[in-house]
Amino acid sequence: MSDPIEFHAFVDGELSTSQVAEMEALIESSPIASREIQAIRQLKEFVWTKSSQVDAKDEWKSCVLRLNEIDKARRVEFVVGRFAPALCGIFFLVIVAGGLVSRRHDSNYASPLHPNLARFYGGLNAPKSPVDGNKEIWLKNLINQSWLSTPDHPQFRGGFSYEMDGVPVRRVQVRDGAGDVTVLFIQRHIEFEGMTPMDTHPGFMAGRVNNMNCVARSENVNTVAVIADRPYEDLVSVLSH
Amino acid sequence: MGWNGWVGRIPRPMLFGKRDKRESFERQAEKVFPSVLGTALRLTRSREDAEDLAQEAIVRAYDAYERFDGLNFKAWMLRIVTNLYINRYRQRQRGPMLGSLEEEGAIEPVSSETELPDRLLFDNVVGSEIEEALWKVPEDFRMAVILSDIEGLSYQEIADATNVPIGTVRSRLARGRSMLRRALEGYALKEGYLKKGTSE
Repeated sequence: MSDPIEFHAFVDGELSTSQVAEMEALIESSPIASREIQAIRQLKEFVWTKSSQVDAKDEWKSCVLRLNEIDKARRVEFVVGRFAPALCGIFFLVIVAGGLVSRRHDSNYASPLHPNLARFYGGLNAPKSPVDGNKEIWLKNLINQSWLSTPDHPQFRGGFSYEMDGVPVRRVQVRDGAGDVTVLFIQRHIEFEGMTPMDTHPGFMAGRVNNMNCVARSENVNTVAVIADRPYEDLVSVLSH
Repeated sequence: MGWNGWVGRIPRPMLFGKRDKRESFERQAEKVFPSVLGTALRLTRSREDAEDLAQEAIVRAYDAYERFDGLNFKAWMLRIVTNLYINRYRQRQRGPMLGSLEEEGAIEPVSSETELPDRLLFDNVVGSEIEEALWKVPEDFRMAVILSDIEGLSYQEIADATNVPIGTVRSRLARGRSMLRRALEGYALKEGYLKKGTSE
């Protein structure tokens, strides 16, 4: 064994027992090997004892601060990870519950059963389609049949169809001897908010919309409302036709 | 109470399930940190780079602490810092690089051919001069000498830290020591600690 690498391994204690025995025999017999081993030992010890120790106190403090930041970030992540879904669920339920309560109690919201008449009358932003074709013929017949018996000779002036809150509405403009009358045919039993039952005419409701009088009546699944700038009694008369 | 205050009140065991992890890591890391920083300094030769490297190694080690096998924490830390250095700093370091001839040529003996007395050499050279001499040794050889002779790692631990076979570690260590001895001799002769051809 005369490989220089083995001398270093011997000094470093990295040889097996048998290799160590071989090396010791070589050192005994060879002054060159002995000198080399001695030189390696001295150099190793010299480097070990003379290499300067690094003062690392300040740098270690920086590391501790960095570890603190990491721990803090992990705690935040933990809280967010564990509790955020539950908090989100609670918030979602609160929002849904609030929406339901608002839907039941908010006076500005048009419930299908108690909607605001003005919204149905105006149609707001609902897309409107003109009443024409079969619908127009049907409405004209309906109006003529009901009003023919009156001396006013009503005239069909046109109309629109639209939907409010999912309810189909036909708004028809009619003119008779006393002026214009708006008739709303609504395919749902509706009690308009703000309208009050008429004591003199059971089943009729009276109210105001757009500074005009309105009388409405619901039967089965339909509601008809007439709106005009004329007394309630006259509107009851028109609606009775 | 602010968000941080609220988070701060959550007990650590509830968060990590291992209350001692941080304390255990900190206790062990603080002991070996001078070695980590010293190795980083000897590899980069820049205090600023060495601090960054050492701190990054600590953070990496903390993240991976659960994977530590529990055997030799110092060797594990030095492995992390060495690997970080190889991956990040090596390409832009300015010291002598490994040459193919140096890796393949014959290994010179450590003992002086000129019979220069070791005692004179070793008695006069101081720590800072060793650091200078070390820096003259090509990087891969220097790394082996640092990890073995300064940090006391075994061949296997050096092989793990530097990602080379154990035979390469043995070879690099033998060559690195020989080069270091020559560098020290040159330094001693230059400074007048030794006179060539003279005896003690």
